[in-house]
Amino acid sequence: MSRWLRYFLLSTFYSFRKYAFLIRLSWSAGFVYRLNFIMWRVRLVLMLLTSYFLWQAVFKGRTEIFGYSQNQMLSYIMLAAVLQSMVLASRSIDLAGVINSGELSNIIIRPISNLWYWLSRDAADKALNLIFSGVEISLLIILLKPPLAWPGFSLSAVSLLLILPPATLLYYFINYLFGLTGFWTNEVWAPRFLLMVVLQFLAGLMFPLDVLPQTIQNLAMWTPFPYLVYFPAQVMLAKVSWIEAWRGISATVVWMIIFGAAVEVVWRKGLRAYGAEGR
Amino acid sequence: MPIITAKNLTKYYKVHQKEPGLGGSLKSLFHRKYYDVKAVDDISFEIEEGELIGFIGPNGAGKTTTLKMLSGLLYPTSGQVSVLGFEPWKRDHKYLKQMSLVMGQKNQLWWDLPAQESFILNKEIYEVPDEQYKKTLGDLVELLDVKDVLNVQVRKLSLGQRMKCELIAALLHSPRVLFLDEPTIGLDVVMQKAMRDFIAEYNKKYNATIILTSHYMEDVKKLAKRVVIIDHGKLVFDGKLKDIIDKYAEHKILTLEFSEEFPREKLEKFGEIDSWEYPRAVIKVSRQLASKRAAELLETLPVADINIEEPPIEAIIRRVFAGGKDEKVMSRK
Repeated sequence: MSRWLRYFLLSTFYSFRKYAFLIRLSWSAGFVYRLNFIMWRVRLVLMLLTSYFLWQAVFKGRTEIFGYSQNQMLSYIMLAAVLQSMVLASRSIDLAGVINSGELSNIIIRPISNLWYWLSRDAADKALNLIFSGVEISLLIILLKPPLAWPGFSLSAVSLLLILPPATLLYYFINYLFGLTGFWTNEVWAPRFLLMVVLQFLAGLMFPLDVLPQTIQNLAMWTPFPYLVYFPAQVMLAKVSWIEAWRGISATVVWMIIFGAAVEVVWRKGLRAYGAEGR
Repeated sequence: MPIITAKNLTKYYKVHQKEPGLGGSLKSLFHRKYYDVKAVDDISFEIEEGELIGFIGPNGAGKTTTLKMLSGLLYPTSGQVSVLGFEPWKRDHKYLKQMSLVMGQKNQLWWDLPAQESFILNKEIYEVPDEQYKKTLGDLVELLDVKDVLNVQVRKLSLGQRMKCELIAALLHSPRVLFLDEPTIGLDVVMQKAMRDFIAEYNKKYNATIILTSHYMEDVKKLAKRVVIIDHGKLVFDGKLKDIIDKYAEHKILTLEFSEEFPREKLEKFGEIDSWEYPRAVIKVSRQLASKRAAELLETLPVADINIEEPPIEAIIRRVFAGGKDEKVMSRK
């Protein structure tokens, strides 16, 4: 028993070290293409500013639209930008390319898990993006002095800790699943672009989903996408009741399990089809 | 007890056929014709611990596919493989920790970071204890003489330096089995030799089992006692390098130097003349008759010097691939 426990603890410790170092390495590699990264951030800031000023214009002379006050809407936009850096920032978008080029061989031939490999790399990317978006948003708040509706440090903010990990993992699995298409086709960007467009709308990156007609909203809530950004933002802005919050968390976890299982199945099939090309 | 066994190992690739042109592309969008390519076709062999074996064969013969199945990258279509008692494609971490695959044309080092960083990553991945890591790295760095480049971004290294660093990264966990796919490709002669010396040294020092594929016969000649020849996915020959010569070389090459001129016809009855340019002549004589013919030549013609040689190994191998038909190509060398 104690031998087994020792073995378990040791292997956990070594795994932790592996992936911790991988995060560190990925982090330093992230700084190599500084211009690339900065331009990526500039793009996100411009997108944020676009919807910010758009909503500001829409609210001219009105106090409420779709049940949102101007403060709430602007807060939502900014919050969604931060959540995006946490949930959607990823290095694992490279997975399909890595499979296509045969570079995957480097990973699967070493005693390391591909799933954890990319999760570690994503973690580094998220940290990098989160820091930058934190700085950007702070600057924007200082410069633009927007009226914000911050509900304060409430229990809903605490529940965010419960929501974000499954939401992040859910996106990771969706993303990973798209990456795995690389096993069967070289045309991996077409479905990826489609996903990006869908995310723009259904994840609530451009606007909160509840500005949409009720039917569409209801349909959207049956897809996994709103649980990535829209739902966590709603919880954080205290726009949902406790019951809705728990229902949402449950939905996120269920979707996460579904996509996680799909990833496992497709990964196994993919490995059999893998040609280790070019390598 | 062999450390590596392959039994009836076979790998088919499904390849889809596309007709040329835009029409063909459109057609392939809706209806794809697939056909099987037999990359490896029913190959069997056994390898003992500590052996250094050369896989040779023309491009597309199936060497690399075999290596990929042995290392666990590819799932065999049929047949069995066992390496160190593991089925490679299951990629048990206990197996992966004892083997390494180096592909000459590709890299595992992180392109944007110094090689040192990739080394530490491998140390963590393979769970190499600190002490052992320091010692192995020290040894390898010394053997390959790359002390100065460890902190240089990998993309800025020369091909030779990079290959050396690739080898170090692959050897940090002291693998018992090492697969090297074209380790000297693209390197200059000096670097090729350095690489060869290192591989031989590594094999001796650690009793590591090494399988090596190469286009360069020099690699195989210098390194491998045993050679496996693969062509069109089939195993054509498996044995000692010198046995290939016995088996496939039907002739010996006699190089002669004469002290005075005489008509060509006089030489023709001894064997097939390859070149004749006074005072030198090169003739081909069947192996069994070589010494007898040499004696006769010395007796009847004004021979100043005589040299009996095996045909070059490259020529023999070429003959093996050509199924023994292509005498002309062989003798041109």
